[in-house]
Amino acid sequence: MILYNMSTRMRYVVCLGVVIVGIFFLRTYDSYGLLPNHAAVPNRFVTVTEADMWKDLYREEQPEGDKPLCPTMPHSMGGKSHTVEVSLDSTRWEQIEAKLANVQQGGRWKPEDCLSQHRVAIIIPYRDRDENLRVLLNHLHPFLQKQQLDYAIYVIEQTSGRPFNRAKLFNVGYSEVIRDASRSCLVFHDVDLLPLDGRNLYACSRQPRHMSSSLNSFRFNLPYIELFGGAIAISVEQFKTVNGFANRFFGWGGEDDDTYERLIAYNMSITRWPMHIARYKMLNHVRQTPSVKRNEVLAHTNPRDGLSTLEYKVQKTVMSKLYTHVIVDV
Amino acid sequence: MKDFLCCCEYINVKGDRSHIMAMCCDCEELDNIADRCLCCKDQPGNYGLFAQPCLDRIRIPWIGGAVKVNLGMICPMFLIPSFIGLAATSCTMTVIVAVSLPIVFFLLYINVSFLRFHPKSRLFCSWFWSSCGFLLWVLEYMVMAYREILLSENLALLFLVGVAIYFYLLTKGNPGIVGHSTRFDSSEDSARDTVLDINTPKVGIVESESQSQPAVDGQRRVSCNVCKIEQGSRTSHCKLCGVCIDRRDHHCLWINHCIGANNHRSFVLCLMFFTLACSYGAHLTMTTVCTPDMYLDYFLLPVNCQFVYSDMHIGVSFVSALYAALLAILGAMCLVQQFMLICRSLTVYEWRKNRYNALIGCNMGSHQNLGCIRNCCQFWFQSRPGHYISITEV
Repeated sequence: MILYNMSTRMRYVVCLGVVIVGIFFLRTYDSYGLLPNHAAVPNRFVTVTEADMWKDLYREEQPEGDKPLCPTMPHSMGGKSHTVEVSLDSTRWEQIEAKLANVQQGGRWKPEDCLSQHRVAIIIPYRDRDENLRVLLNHLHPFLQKQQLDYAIYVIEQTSGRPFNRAKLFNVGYSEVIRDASRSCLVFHDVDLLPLDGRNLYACSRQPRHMSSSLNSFRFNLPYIELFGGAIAISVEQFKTVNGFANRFFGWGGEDDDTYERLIAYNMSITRWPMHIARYKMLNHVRQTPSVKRNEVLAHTNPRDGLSTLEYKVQKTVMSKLYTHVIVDV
Repeated sequence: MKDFLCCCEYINVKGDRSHIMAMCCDCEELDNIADRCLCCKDQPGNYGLFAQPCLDRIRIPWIGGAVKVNLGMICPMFLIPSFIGLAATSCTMTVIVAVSLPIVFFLLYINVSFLRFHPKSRLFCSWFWSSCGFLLWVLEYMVMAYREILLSENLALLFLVGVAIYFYLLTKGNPGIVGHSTRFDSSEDSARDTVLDINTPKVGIVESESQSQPAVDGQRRVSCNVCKIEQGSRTSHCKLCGVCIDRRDHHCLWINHCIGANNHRSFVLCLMFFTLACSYGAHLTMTTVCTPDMYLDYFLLPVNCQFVYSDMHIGVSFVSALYAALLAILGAMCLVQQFMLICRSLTVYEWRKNRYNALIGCNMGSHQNLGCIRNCCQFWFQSRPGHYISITEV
């Protein structure tokens, strides 16, 4: 109807516009993984209910000890609200260290009156974000202690030079963790995320778990079904099975998709806990340009690239008060 | 022009057949200038003689002969991305560009309108489209790459853009051109004019094209000297379109079209959706590039934009969001003006005319004013006459 009232030239313009809008639309749909060709990567995310998630936890054989086992659901978390207060004021390191005097050198802690069911290593890739790290550790130590976990925090710092390689730092973190002590569960955690709900236990489920599915910066929604970044809990055995993560993703983006593809290639599924539990707050952070080559690297990913091909040089390992600081050249 | 031109050929100013590839060859004007320079002679006239064939040679291949590139149309397509890229480098640059943008724009406008590369300057139209296109591209390719925008949010934005384009196309239709064959709704017209008659002394309206004629049977009739027709009481002539338009609001340079009785409603709707789309796009970008926080458990607001200039990619997204916000504010201002005038049942043209008349000490008053609510109802629900002549007849 409208088209009839127009000049020929205008009609061309309109048709061109319709085509462009159509391409936009298709592209939008495609980027959310909703076009049929995306079915090549199956959706293996399983959201468990609040009742089931406690039963679904990964357990290891515990040595007989004189202390009783800690309860599955930490009782100190009980009460009406599980929401954890967040303090964003970045105090100085000395103040935080004074406040968290009970933490052992290297950022280790375990409950005194009972035997924790989970021995967890928190691995935080890091570069040049001191303020975020202070806020995170100030928040995370009390949070993990309330969950009565036997934990250690590792901060893996990449030296300047090449673009940030998050996945490789995870591999490095794993290698450093298994040299230190026997830990059964790994939590790969970004430096700019603060857990908001006390029920979000920092322990492994039977299957790898995407812990940060509900971020405040997405209005506590999940923008993409395949989103697999932020905080991930995976058992050491599973991590060894998939040969770790890829070493080749320098710069922003792509490595989380690759991780997901690795896990499902070994027939694993990804657990998610309910959205009202998996709540996180995103801290202020420097953004990077999405790596231009990320899709190319992702397309030519190789399962043999990982722990077996990992090469790095530790420049320094510092046992700080609140964390084990590993500085590496990747 | 009996010969068939291939897509790269064209007929130049002298009437000769020429080819795009020969763009830098064989220029007599340049030869002359060079000759005179070498011989130290005075240049006849100025270098403007050289500019004309140069502009004539910048063409793009098109079916049936290469078409001349309109400079006013091309400039914004390069200027907008380069300005935004420049502003993205640092905070200081953003301020400098924000200050210099209106100045450059003004100079460009003067240049284009005075040199008259084209009788109808497409500068504004092109600026508008380049802005919209570039902003949409930034949002869909640069901001979306962070994968932080929900599908529903993205679809909502595209819906707003789609509706805005739909109303834009409606606006680009016939604005209500008045020709010899146009009948006016005489009863309505005379009723209005009677009111006018009582309220105002008969003072000729100062206008170049129109001529006030003595009232016949208590009705004021004005005729247009260009269109050679008798105008209705609210009809006026548009210099740029060269036609008389019923209830002419204004000639919108941004879409290069007149707004009249027939497309006023769709224009207001288009403006409304354009403003909504711009502000929503700016909001989506801001909450992605800045660290957002939730308020009232639902609204996401950017709280900390500390690191936006640390990276070109983020910088461009951020500056685009600022630009979109600026466009949204301008759109909202126009919208407020439109709504206020609709409430008073005035067009922008009449409002300006009244202001002018008030200045020279002759108050016209808003003669069609039926009260705010009735005016709005009339604007939104009254059916259009629908018997305007089509553009092709003019």
